[in-house]
Amino acid sequence: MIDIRVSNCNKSYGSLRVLKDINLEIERGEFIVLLGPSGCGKSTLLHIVAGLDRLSSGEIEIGGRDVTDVEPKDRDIAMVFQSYALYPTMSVRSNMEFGLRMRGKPMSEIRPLVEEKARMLHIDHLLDRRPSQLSGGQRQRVAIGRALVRDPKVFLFDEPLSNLDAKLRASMRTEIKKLHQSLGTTAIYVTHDQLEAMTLATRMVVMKAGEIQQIGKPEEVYHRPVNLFVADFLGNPGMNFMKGHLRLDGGRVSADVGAATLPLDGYAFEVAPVAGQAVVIGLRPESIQPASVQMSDGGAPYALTLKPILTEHTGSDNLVVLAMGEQEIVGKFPSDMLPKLGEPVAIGFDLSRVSVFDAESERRI
Amino acid sequence: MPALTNALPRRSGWLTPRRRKAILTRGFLYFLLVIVAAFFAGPLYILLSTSFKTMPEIQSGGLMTLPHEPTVQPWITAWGEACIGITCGGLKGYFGNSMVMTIPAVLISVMIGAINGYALAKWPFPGARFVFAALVAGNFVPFQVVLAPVAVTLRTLGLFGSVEGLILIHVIYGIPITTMLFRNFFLSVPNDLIKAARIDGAGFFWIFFRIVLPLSPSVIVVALILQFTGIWNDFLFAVSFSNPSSAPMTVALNNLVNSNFGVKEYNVHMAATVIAAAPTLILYILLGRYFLRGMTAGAVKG
Repeated sequence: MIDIRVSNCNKSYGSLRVLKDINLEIERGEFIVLLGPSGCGKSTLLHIVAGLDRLSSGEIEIGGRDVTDVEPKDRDIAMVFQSYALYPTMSVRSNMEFGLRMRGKPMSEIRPLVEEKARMLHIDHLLDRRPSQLSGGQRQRVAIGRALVRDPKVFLFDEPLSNLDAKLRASMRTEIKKLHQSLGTTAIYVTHDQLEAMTLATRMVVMKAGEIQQIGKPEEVYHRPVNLFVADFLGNPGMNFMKGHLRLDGGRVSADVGAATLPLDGYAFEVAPVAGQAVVIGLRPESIQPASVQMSDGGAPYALTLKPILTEHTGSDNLVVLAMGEQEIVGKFPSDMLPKLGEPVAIGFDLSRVSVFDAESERRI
Repeated sequence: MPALTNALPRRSGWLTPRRRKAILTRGFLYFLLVIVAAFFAGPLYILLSTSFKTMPEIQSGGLMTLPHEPTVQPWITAWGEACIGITCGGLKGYFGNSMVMTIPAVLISVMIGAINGYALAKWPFPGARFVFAALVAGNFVPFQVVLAPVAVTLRTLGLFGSVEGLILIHVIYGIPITTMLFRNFFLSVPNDLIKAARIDGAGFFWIFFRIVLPLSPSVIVVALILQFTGIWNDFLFAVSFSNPSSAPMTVALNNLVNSNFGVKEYNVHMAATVIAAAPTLILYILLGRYFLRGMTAGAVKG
């Protein structure tokens, strides 16, 4: 069942087009993450769904109702802000009660509700404090609590974890995930942190310059990016790109990337390959490992002998920069395998994970 | 446990070069401050001491001396008996006029300024920039320029010479400055707060009264003091648009001091001046610390 439908949505400020013809359908209970670099329009899209910004053209539907011209308060949504946006002169309790009181609920119903949600978020001992007396993590809990008590149809999160330190961010992330699993409420979550996007999303929407690039499950977007932008934006360290040309020998397709010719037998082309077509071959660092390491798919990997020119320890693995003809590629080695610089090593390529892009259109083929 | 407090021996000779320098710097600072303070407090001292002197003592000279035989008669005369124009009822009636004019004018102009500033800062509407520019320009209109049109307007409205007319004029000419003050302060209120409240279901005025105003005591005090001082001390509008029964303190004081009948009773004039200045003085003393805080608010992030 479609819970939120965004149709042909445009937003411009003067001559600046912030959103270009956005179409998006969200099923009930989904956790949608809007991901993209700053200025890509993801926050604007969220604000438009919330009703805080008006769209220039298009339609928004929530729960089957056209809400394009409906005030935020009547859209049955709740929002959590990056800055928490707690009312500074009110206690935590009043902050959480505010929305329900505005809706004219009797205090006898509000009190137990607020206390129940506060216990759930472990902030029940903070109810009589002011926001200024809380730590960042506690404030974000209160902000989430304030959204929870309203029991809305849709939760909107605007980079809620960006102001927290790395450790707190990770733990709040899991908590938000648990919360969503237990409540099952539809949620839209804006972030520029790909780790948050990958871990939280049931589906993610990658945006760039006001346009949706790709919508899909996190693993799908990660492994089958539709264009070079998405491929490059996701993953840390980023995907390796090798420039080359396609070759067609009989029925067999391969890519000549200068230093080597990579066989693309297993690759499912979406567009029929053309001989001599300029392409970019994308392969993630975790698909480039020492040939001695068993590849994930179990099949015999394609192997080359390459010279390591730089190594980086990240703790869990070693990142190895390898010279491949004129180009450099990064491989991810297990932490106990540290190759000597300059001494050629047999490197296995897991070509079942390869992505092929047209060099000109930058689209996946 | 060994007594750790005695571990460090006290240095003999407390007047180290560094300390001497600090004392000299401090001393110079105090010296300057005393001079500046004397410059401002001197007239006030003369005002107060003269107001408690008898006329013969004033005529014998000695401006700076304390009164030999202090008397409160000048105060009583100034408040209730002095002749202003053709009536001899002292200042008390005019003090009342000033209060009746100033308090509503201050409250209304601050209230409207706050709502205007809130709308301009937090609810952008088409043409908001133009409205704000017009209001800023309003701050620079010399009041002499508008005297004649205002006189005609007040006469048309039937308010010429009345306290209500003065209130109206002070409210109108107070709105640009209060609006600007509040608008600039409200710009620092995070937009997310307004958005959160809108989603929670609060409207324009709910957000204003429940969320924005409670954040703004300092700027409210600044606006109150600024408006109270300005309107209470105003002479131009008062002398132009009031009649003898509605004249405020400033006009009455002027008439009292400039009357050409009999001897100049300096002690009464001084007492009258202090009475005229007292409300603004008291306001500063009561709210001054908020005023200072408000003036610097937003200067430093934190």
